[in-house]
Amino acid sequence: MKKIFKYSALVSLMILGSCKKFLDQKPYNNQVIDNYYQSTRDIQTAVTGCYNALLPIINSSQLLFNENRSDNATYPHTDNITSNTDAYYPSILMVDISNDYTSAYWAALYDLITRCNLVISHIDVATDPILKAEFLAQAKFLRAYAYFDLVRMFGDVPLVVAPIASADAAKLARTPAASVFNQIVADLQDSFTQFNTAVAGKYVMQYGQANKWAAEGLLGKVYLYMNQPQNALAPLTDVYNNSGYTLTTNYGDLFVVASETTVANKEILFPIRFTAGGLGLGNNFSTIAGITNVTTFGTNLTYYSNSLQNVFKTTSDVTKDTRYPVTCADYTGASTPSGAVFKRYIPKLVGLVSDGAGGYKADKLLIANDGGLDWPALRFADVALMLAEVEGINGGLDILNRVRTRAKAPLLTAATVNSQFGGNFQLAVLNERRMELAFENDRWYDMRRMGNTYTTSVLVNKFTTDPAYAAYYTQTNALVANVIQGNTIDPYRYLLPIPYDQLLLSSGMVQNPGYQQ
Amino acid sequence: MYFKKLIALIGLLLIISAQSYQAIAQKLPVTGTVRQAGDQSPLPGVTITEKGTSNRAVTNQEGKYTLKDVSPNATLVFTYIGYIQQEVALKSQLVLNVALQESQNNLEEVSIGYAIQKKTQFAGAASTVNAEKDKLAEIPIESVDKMLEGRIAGVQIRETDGQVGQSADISIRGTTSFSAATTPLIVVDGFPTSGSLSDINPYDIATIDVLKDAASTAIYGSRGANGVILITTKKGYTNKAVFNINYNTGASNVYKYYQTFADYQAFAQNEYRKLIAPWQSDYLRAGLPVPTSGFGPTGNALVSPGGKTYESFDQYFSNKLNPATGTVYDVNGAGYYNVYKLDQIEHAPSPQQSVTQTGIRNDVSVSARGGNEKTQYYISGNYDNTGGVMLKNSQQSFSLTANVQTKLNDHLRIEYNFMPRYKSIQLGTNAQLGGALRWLNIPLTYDALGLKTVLSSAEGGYPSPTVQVGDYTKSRDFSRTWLMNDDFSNFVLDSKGNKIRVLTYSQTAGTTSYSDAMDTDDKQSVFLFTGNMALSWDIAPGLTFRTSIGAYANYNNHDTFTGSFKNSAGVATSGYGQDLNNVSMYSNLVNENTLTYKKSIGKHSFTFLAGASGESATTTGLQVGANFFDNDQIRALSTASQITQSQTNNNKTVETLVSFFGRVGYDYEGKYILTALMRGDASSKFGPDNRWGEFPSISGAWRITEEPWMKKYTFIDELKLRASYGVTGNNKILNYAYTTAVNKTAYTFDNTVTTGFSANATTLGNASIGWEQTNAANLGFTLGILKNRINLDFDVYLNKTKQLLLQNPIVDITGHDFEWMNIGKVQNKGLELQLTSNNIVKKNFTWSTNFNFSMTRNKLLDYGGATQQFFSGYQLSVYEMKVGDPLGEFYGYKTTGQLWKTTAEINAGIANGTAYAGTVPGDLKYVDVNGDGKITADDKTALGNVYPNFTFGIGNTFTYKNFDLSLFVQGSEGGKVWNMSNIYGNRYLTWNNVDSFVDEFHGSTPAPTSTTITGTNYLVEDASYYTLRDASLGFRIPKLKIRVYFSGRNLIYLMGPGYHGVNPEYMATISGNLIRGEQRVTTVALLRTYTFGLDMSF
Repeated sequence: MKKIFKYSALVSLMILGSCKKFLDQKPYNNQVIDNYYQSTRDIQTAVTGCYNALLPIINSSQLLFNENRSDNATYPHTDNITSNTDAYYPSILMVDISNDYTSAYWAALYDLITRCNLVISHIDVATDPILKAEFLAQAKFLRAYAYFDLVRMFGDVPLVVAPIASADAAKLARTPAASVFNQIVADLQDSFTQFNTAVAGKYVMQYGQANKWAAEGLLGKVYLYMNQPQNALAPLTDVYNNSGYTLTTNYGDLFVVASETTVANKEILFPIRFTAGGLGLGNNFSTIAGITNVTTFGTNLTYYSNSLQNVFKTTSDVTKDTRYPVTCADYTGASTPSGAVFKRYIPKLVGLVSDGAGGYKADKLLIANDGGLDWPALRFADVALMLAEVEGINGGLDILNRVRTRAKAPLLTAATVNSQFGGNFQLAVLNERRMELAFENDRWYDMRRMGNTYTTSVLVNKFTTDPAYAAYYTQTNALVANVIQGNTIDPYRYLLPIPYDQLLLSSGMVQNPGYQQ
Repeated sequence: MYFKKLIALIGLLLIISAQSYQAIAQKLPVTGTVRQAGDQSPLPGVTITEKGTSNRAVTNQEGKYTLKDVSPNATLVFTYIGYIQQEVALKSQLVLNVALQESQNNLEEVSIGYAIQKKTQFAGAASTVNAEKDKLAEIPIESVDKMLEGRIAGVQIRETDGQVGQSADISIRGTTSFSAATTPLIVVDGFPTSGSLSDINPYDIATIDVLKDAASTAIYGSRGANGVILITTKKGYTNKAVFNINYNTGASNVYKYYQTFADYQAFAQNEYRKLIAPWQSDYLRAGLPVPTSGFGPTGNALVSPGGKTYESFDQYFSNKLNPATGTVYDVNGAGYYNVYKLDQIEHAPSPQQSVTQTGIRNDVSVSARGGNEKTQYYISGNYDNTGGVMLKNSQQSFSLTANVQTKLNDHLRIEYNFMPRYKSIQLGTNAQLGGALRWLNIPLTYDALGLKTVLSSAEGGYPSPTVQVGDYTKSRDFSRTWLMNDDFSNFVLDSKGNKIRVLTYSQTAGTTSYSDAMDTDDKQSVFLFTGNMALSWDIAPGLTFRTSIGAYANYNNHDTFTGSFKNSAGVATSGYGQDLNNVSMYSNLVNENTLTYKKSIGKHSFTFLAGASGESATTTGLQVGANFFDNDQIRALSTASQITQSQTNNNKTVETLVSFFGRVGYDYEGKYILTALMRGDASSKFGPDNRWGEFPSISGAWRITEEPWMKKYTFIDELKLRASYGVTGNNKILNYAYTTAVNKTAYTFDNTVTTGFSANATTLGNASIGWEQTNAANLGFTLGILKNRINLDFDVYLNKTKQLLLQNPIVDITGHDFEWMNIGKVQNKGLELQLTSNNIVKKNFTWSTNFNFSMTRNKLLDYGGATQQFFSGYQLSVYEMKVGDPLGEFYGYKTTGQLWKTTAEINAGIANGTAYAGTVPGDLKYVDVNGDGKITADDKTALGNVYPNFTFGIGNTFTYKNFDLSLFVQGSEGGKVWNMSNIYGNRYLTWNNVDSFVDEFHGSTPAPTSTTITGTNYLVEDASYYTLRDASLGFRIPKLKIRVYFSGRNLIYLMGPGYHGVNPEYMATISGNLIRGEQRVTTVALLRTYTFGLDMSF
């Protein structure tokens, strides 16, 4: 018996000895964060990880909150009414507090911010000063980009500039928008400085990475939204004159996947780069903006309004303006009972290919939500039109006409500014931006920076005159009656609600006024 | 009253049985036959002991015995497992024939982990199901877990998914965890396995014991934290081989469909006419008085302010409706086609029926068992093919079992179990009842009246020449069909050329639930292996060493093919097929070594156990996604033109556990019983500093009936007080949860896809997480009276779980959605009662009853200092964690049942704070819970929870001559569910107005027009149910040794009042945390089954 106990004690000891090894199990598929940020290479891949976080921001259906809420788009096809109210309601300014797309959008933006914060807080791991400047510049640019979207869509938002523990984050209140704007400006200025350092070190930029011109151009844009055009002038002028970016020869070239890195890169300062082929890097705006008959996987969640079409008709020439056919396209394969509205789509968002006759046609989507077209987050035409706006009609008209020339649209004169826009050159620029940048998520923001009165008048006009509401979609029209009270719209609808699940988790945040608490 | 009668009865029995003894000195042999009381078949293997001596004998194959040298005045004791022990005074007889009554409380022994204990000595809380008694094999369902529904007190088993081939959810004694799995440990013949109950062939099971209290389960340490289910399989006899063949066949159908407008009866009962119909909302919005009738004075339909023509429901359901034909007549006597009454069009199935089927079942089982003194064996084979009621859902399984025990010599024994099983499961994932209603389109309706489908002109124009009368339109045809919308005022022609308005709901993808289901294959091939072997060595008297090695492996090939038509947005494009193939292998190896020592010193008995075990579980998976198959018939990945990188990956996780344990048992005269044990577990799931958990427990019992002063109460056979207290731990969370993963990502720079890394956006790891710990106390008694004809077990328990493991939702500002935490404290308390009673025991007629009842109350005691936390579910379903309340209390506004009717009223409401700015006419009014005169977020309140007030099961078994009848009734009362399918019903009415096929599900409450019903008690419904779960009627043909039976499942099923769904037990897929109670349109229908079977032994 003694022997038995002796043996079992021995066995036990052996087991205990090998125990630790037996119990130490490491993940096989991924790294662990605690020992991740160790080398320059780790920071570099982390920066790439930041860029990756841009994709869900665009794919979280930003179009639904931007273009679909503006006068560029009307209410989507009835197919979506009951199946997807979350996608449909924003178009009539009825966003539920639990709208799935707002939650996803909010989360995606803060995911990007967190990744940037992690890079910035670990930046000292990168010992090479040139690389360090380069990484810092990119991370700050991307953080500014995220906050710029957040603050314009939600108003005040919690401002986080370093990794934060969950308990502290839950207590954060919403930072006033003005302070968020200040942080954005500071980040972009710092980004610009760091880029200068990096460029001096002969760092070779790749297409897809942010650069000093993107930082400067975005800074100009931010100043516009801060209503400080005087501050916007210098950066915009610098980019316009010195960046080397220019307009592509053909407007359509901007939206051709095959020539993104050879042609479109001459104009696009900052692309958000999507790649098709089942890599998980594809875009969904091609799916949202397409129509089944033409692009196989189109879901038709966004399409152009009569209003946008009319702008092309009245302030340009639809037979010549090359922007028109790639912005407002109709499917003409069959007549439909509903007539006009059912068959609209937006080729420039689906991606263009040559139609064999010197023009373009929409690409056929190979698979849903796997489009390869980049998102033109900031391009030279945008910068040019902002500069035109800041300079006013004297310097601005020529710049504006440079954009129109490229588009092969008839030139604008002081006379037409008078006749079409009552002599208000800013309205002429806004109108040009509408056509040039249609469905690039600028129109809603442009409407918003013009103020509530402007926004309301534009929207009331859209809801009351567009036949989509009056004639075709009477059920929608009935709902719109809830939004338009007399000739007014309660401006609370212009900000998105803070996602409900986030409010529940937070002790510091309160809902935007007007929304169900 | 009842008790007095009982005493009188017992007294009478005692007098009758009082006998005088006759003293004869001579010892003689006694012979006789032992039979079963029921069918009088001989019982082999019964032990006959002369009381007070060691003189014993065993019956042979014919049930005959001979006991030599018996005192004439002796008393013979007849014992046999599963039968009531019988003592008979010999009174000088030389031939003594006895019929043994089967015991309800049949198990005399209970496995307590690494040892067998006499049930009388057992101090914990356990329940037993006897497969043969409860006729488990006759329950027409494909897996063991579902067979046990409602049969065990304190064990909640719910078919949360509802499809054949999907495991049921099992939890023992309430919800103790947020995130860690609460699946109990399954131990098969003493070997712990990582598998589930559904992995075991039901026919192999002899008994199922469930250990519920911590003291009983603690020996299994962390693995037993959620309770232990011990499966004892059938074993060989020590006599000649017995063969058994069982065959059954049957069919299942849908118990209940969603009610639709087509159901006139339900519609009328719901008194819809009294309600404000949704179509009237247009009037409300416009601030106009709502017309009382949809028809103007001339009989023309009124036009709403929205410009739409409406026909009043009143008009439809006035006397002008002919319910037989579904035709409605207007005031001029002209017939309308009542499009709501699809059911009444001859042969026209409802859309829901398009996605259901009759589930056919065929099941055959053969087994043989036998053996001799040294070796016993049991082998079996089973083939089962069970069809579910949802389109395409079925499971086929093929199982083999062999178990052998053999004595190598006087000291060495070997046990050997081998249970491979193959399952082929097809799920009808895309077949959805609610979905069928949503995606209703003409081609899905039977074309008996010559309805024509309409194609777009690009597809050949209108009407379609391709669809034959009487055909369902298949997805391929369907995909080419024009989707009509009522806004376009489309119509089709019936055979007489009359226009019928076409009412469709369509979506851009252009598919229906039916076509989705037809064009999708969700198949799993599962190979399960449970095998183990143990060697026991009797080293010295009382000292035994046992070592075992067990293996469990689960190979699963899960292949989901999405056909090119579904996948290409309903457009007839070939080459768009898509496949996702996941091959995973889980294997778990367990080695256990124990040393047991038994010693009796006088009246004191001791048992000692020491043991060590190690276990290692590895999961490997390989997943490949592929796109663009040449055609839908050839699905080899090599014919796909793209391998989808984002879906292609492999993974491997390893989990290890090391344990040491010891147990001391003490027993004084079988009267006082005390057991203490200690176990230490180390798990690889936690960081190096938090791996070890210590789990002690203690239990004791006092068998009052063993006290001399109790002997006079002879009608009490057993009275035992039991008490136990113990600590268990739970670590059943994801592997590596203590780390934050940094995952590979990518982005394209220039023309190169560049690798990046970023922290997992979903979950933040936490290095400080450790064991979740439950402190559990149990108090109970066991009572057996009238020669154990009535047995009662009663238990109360109080379990407190602390440091709960939780993926706590955190604000997205952190860049993550969840963080792992040990947080909070939860209490579960409850009571359980189990009663078995042999009410009538006559030669030709018996009646026995078993009854179980359980109540559990669950309460959050602490939430890491916070008083309230929320989880959001689907839509606005919110679950509240509030200290003092049950876990996952539904949370939201209460509604008054009234609607906001006019804009003026709303504006006044906004002004005084009773309405918020976005309110529209038709929205529901909320209750001002805190009474401050305003409706604010503070008025949100608890709306109920999923936990039932009580659950119960009553089984009654009758035998009359060769007939037997078993009825098992089961119920659950008081649980609630978020019935989110109501949202759809509601939205349908909102949007499609009178053209909706879908009832808004709420007959007797107003039908609000907006989505503001989400997050309110409007969607909270009673999930109580009472069901005749299983019923079986059998007839034994004695000469042929054949029994035939008819059985049924869910023959009667009563649902709670106000429940508008189709299956109260269903819960939507759980993600993130376990506390959810939602039903959506994906709810799987409840099935009702009828079976015929025969059972043959020879």
